[in-house]
Amino acid sequence: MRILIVEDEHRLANNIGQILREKGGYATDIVYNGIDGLHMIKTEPFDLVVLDLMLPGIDGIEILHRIRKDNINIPVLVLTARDTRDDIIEGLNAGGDDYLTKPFDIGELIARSKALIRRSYGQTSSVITIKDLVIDLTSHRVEVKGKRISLTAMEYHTLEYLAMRKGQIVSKEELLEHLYDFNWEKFSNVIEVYMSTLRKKIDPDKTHDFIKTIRNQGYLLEG
Amino acid sequence: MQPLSLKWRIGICVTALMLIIVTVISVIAYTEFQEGLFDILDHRLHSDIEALKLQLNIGDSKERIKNEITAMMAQNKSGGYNIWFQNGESYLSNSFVSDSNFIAEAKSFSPPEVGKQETFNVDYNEKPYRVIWAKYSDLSSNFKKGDILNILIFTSSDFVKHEIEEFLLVLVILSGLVIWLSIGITAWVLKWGLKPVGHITDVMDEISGKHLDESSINFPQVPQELSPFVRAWRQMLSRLSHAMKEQRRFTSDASHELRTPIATIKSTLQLARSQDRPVEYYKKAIDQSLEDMEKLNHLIDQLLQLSRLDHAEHSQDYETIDMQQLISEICEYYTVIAKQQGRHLDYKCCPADIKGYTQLVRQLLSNLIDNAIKYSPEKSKISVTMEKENDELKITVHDEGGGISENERHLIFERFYRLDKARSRSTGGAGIGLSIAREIAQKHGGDISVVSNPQEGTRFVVIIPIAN
Repeated sequence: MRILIVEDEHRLANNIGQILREKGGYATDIVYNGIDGLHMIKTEPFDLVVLDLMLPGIDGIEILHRIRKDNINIPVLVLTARDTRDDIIEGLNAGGDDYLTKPFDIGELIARSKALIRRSYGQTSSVITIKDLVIDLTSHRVEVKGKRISLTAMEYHTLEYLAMRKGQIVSKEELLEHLYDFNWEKFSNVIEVYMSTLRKKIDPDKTHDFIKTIRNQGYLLEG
Repeated sequence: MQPLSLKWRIGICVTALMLIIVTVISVIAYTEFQEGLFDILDHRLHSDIEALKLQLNIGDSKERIKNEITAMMAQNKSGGYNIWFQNGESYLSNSFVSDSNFIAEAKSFSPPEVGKQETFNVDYNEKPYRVIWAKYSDLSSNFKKGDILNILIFTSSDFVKHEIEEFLLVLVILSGLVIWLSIGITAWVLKWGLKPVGHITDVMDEISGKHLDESSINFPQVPQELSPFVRAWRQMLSRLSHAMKEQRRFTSDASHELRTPIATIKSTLQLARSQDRPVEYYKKAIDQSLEDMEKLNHLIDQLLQLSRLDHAEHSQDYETIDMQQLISEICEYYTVIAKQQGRHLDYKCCPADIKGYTQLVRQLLSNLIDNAIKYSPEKSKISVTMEKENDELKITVHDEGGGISENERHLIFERFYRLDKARSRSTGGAGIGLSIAREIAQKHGGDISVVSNPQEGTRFVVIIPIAN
């Protein structure tokens, strides 16, 4: 999952990035003004935007108006110091999905981000169960037949993304775009490597064949 | 004391006016009516006396004359007659009028000339009478030549009194009615006339602090006389609305500026504590937090200055400030600061006194010089000059920084406006220093302006009136 952070206070923006990477395992991109923010939202496939309202260039409300006008349905977590009821109403009406006021708690930031991403994939519960496979989105625990299996961070995120989009074919490019931020060199064979170790770990007996490869299209985790 | 209500003011005026009109009309009507009634009486008395004179002129015997007169006067039951010679000898009279008291009463009026008549009123036995008195001479051969005959005829004027009393009663009732009606009409007209005021009040009642925007207010249509009032009210609302918006923007900006560093500090510390990290990480987190604390502290100082400014006392408490001394004092201090930061500060002073608050003026100059040092490149020169122009003191703070673009120049004095957020953040400014400077200058009857271009840098000019 990949998150864009739009916040003009550099240090705070970097902290938010670190929180989301360390505690949420997300890929993050950070921009420090509204113009870059709007450009990134329009051109890159993010799973969530953490958006400050008071920004140089274009302010947060304006960004919300513009992306919603363009039918970009990306979830947006508005993060701002403005905490009056009118401000919150304005932020939500402009197209924000949730509101977090500064100073925030890092646990709350993570929980809200997760919930927003989950919901955007139509997943209301924080636990996804597919046959014997149980994925806990909060603790990042994965169990098969009641037995916990240990996955690397990237293996987990690959599985999580496929699980979020269960029943849909996900291309390698999509996986790359959603699992890595802008600064990574993106090679699609990385995905193939993860996929093979992941398959071995979640289905050692090869009884379920959870992840199917669809030729020339991508991968499919059936629900 | 509360002023008299409009209802009473207009009511009293209208009623007084009506009272005067009604009184004048009543007096005229009363006089005319009374005169008319007496005219009728007098007309009868005149014809009676003419008839009597005719009778006396014919030269009949006294007995016949008496019979004729008695017959003639029979119709005038409430009256009577008396005829006597000038020497007092009675000639003819009926019994009632022979009463010496009545005659004496009548004779107290000025008698007519010979050949003329006089009419007047006599009260006798508490009853009113109308009397005509005539004097004739040389009537007929029955009388001696030169004899003057006094003829007095009277009739009761009781009915006149009665009629007038009735008329007065009607007048009083009518006046009362007119006045009562005028009060009623005044009240109704007032109520009707003040109806638009009621509409305005209703609209005013619905306005709350949150909905001061002109577009959200449905201003009522009012008569021409009230439109200046509504216009003034609209203007007041628009000023209020502007002030409220400004206030809201300030609160919003201030909360942003205060909470962002707090959020940074909090997230830095939470991150540091959330897991085991190398010692260097902790050190960096603490250093960064201290830096952010410093920014926060600076901002709080500035906000306190602003609120102190808002509550600064009135100009009558101003003291005389020796600007030469103050400016050299401030510049000496900043020369050291500038040097520490690799810049050079130059200043030139001249003697001048102004009226004001030393603390505020010091703040104003410190803000400008501090800004100049922050926004100018290293090794550049900052100069502070003061000069007298007529009765104003002109203080110029010049730096060799990159200048301010023209469309941003009017915005820099707004609270929390930053030219370059990243730069101002990194130097610790929050964008209210210039706003404070302007407010201080204006509080001292002066102002502040800025001249800037990329080649020559920026020149802030403060103008303050010189004390006499």
